[in-house]
Amino acid sequence: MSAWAVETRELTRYFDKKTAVDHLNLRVAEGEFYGFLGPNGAGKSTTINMLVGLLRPSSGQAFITGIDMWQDPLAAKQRIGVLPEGMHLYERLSAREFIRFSGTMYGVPPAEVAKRTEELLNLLDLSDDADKLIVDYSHGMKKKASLAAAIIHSPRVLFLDEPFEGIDAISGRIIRDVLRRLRQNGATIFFTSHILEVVERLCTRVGVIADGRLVAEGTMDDLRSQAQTGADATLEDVFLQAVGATADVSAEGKLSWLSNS
Amino acid sequence: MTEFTPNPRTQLSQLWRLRGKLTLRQFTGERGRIVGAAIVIFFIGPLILAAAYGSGIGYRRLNDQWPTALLGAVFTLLWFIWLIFPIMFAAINEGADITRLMIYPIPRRTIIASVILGTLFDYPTYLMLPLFAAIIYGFGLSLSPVTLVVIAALVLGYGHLIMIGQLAGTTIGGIMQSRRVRDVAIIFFSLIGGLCYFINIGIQRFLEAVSHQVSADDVTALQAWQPLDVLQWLPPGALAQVVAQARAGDWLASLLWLGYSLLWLILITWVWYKLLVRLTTGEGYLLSPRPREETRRQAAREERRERNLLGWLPPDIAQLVANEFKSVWRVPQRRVGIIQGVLMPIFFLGAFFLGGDTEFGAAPRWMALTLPVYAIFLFWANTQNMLAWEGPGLPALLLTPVPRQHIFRAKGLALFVITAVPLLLFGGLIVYNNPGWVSVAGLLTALGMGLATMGVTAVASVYFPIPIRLEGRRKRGLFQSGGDTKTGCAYITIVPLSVVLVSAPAAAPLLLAWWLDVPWLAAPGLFFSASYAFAVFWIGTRQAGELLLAREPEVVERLKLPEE
Repeated sequence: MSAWAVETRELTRYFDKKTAVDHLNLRVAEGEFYGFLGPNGAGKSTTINMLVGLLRPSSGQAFITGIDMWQDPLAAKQRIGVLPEGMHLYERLSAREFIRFSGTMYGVPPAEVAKRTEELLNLLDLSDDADKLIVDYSHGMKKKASLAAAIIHSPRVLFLDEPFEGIDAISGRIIRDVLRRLRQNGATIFFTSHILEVVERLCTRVGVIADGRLVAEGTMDDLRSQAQTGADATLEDVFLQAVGATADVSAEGKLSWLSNS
Repeated sequence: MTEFTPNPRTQLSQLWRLRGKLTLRQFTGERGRIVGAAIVIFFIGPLILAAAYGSGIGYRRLNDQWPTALLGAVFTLLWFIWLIFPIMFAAINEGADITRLMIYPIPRRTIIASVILGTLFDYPTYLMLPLFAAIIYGFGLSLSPVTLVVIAALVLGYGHLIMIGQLAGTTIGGIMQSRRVRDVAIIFFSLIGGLCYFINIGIQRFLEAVSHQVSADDVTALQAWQPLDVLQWLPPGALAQVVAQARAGDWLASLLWLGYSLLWLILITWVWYKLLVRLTTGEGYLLSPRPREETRRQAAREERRERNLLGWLPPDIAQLVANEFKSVWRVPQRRVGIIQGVLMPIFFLGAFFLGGDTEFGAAPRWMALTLPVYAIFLFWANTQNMLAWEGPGLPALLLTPVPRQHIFRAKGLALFVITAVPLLLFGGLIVYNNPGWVSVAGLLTALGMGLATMGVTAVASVYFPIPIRLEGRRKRGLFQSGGDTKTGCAYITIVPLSVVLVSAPAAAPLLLAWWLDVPWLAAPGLFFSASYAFAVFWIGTRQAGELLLAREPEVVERLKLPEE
């Protein structure tokens, strides 16, 4: 059995003529906090969807703790928790009902489901609204409910697609703490985010994807040396360098009408 | 880290409970859906009971081939109900969307079992029970082998119906998630009531025609007709053949037809399973919304068309006019309004000419005088509450420094063009049918009154705004809107009264010319009408603009939906 929590081999996905993910080879060790970065449309969500069994790859393989997701999806899904991009919530359940439902689906015994649900609701500050229908929740509350449902079975690998998007500072802090606790408990966390500051603060290793290909990977120090950006470079500098956007991304010299008016 | 092993039986019971809960929760805070369900229970329920009673009697009392032909017809009807059901309800019941379960370690057979068991929460399951009971009453209420065959046929029939419903849902699920199809469905169901009237007239006429022409040969041919000869190769007819052959005592043939029906069930289940596998591995539904590339090409085409058509207008007004056209086309409630405007005169003419008393070609001269009334109604209906159609985009519009009267003039221009179409259709028909100065003057006066009406509705839309939900996602009901009692009362009293009073002078010259029977008076009269209407529109939109500028925060506040 592989020692890798997450592994892809030549993972590829085409959408019509467009290659969304191009022969991706990734390896994430158990217990790692892996940040998966890339510009919009780079292939992050497509990769995650293939890793968690929501999107069939055109070719290649995806392994979770050594189990091929597409050969033995049930065994693989038992080990993962997912906060997908669209959250996939049952909006006409309350948060309490949804978290319990999720726990039961993952096979957590009923008494344990009840106990963990209450703990999660408390921790994520959802207790007061736990019996309201999710349809009436704010975006941040939905995200927290979705996170609770994803971790109730203490997954070995947790996939999070933009967990901090649209989240206020307090909720963000709570989610970060929960993720730290999970990692301390041995879970592997694989997440995407556009908030580079969070990635820099949390991740032990970072992979950068552009046009479906992995263009940089390593610890922050590795990336700085790969990108030759200097010891003081931020993740933003490294990221822009890795995706080849440094020359294009500046607004300097563009929007001529701004200087004319 | 503890690892848990899911128990498929527990999962199945949870999934079943989830489906039940979500079916009930469709109604939470949804008065519209509760009313819909009540209509189903109190309207369709008795219909089904009557159909069950009638078919039960029919099975027993009809002779020859007709009891089993009736059975075939009943099964066919049930097939249609189960085919249509997912189209109508898939978007409402999120429990029916199995893609949400894909992140969990649930075996596929558990998902399939949960889907089948979930049908116990679907309306049609219960709608078919009385019809099934009637079948047992009609064919199998005795201790004979026929009873066993009937029960076997019903079990197979139930399987067919469940599977065909699932197959339809799985095939078109992607389409049902598209806003465009939901819009079309809304429009279709909104208009079907009007169409029923025509269907009724058509059937009445057909029966009248047929009853006069039926000969003895026709009656003999009808008596010899075997409907099951046609139907038998399809699942509903095959099931009827199972019963027909058993009644005739041909047990082998009955068994063969039973086997044939079973093959259909296996085939439908297999196709559904294949589609389900496709769906559960990220390949998506079989039919999906339009690809992005095509959408982009269409957008570019629309942009070119807009530039060509509206290039002559000042840019801000051109943009506002273009937005209004798009809004009317893209917001289903608005499209329904326009289509109903087109259909209304057709219904009116239909009632007039198809009623049987009047031949087409004999429209009375005074009919042209109804055009101004029709115009007032049409323009009032299509242009009232015009700011609310901006929806959540209104604050963005009001953040711009666009002159406020331009907003109303642009809306007025777009709505005039759109609303004039049904008016010109109806008016054109009257002019064609009854050429003369009254018809032409009636049509032109009607257009003028429409223009004047918009001057009033522009002002009213600032004074009496009512929020409207435009979003078609239906999390909380599609047409839910707000507005207080005072505003509601104003809409049925002061606003229509003002519309009539303000626009009436535009019709005065026509009525005077008609009353005095002085045709030449119509020409200067029309000039007066047009000038008056334009002045009312111009002054009304300017006034509305000034009012809006002074009351923007209040208007925005009042146009917020209750939960915003």
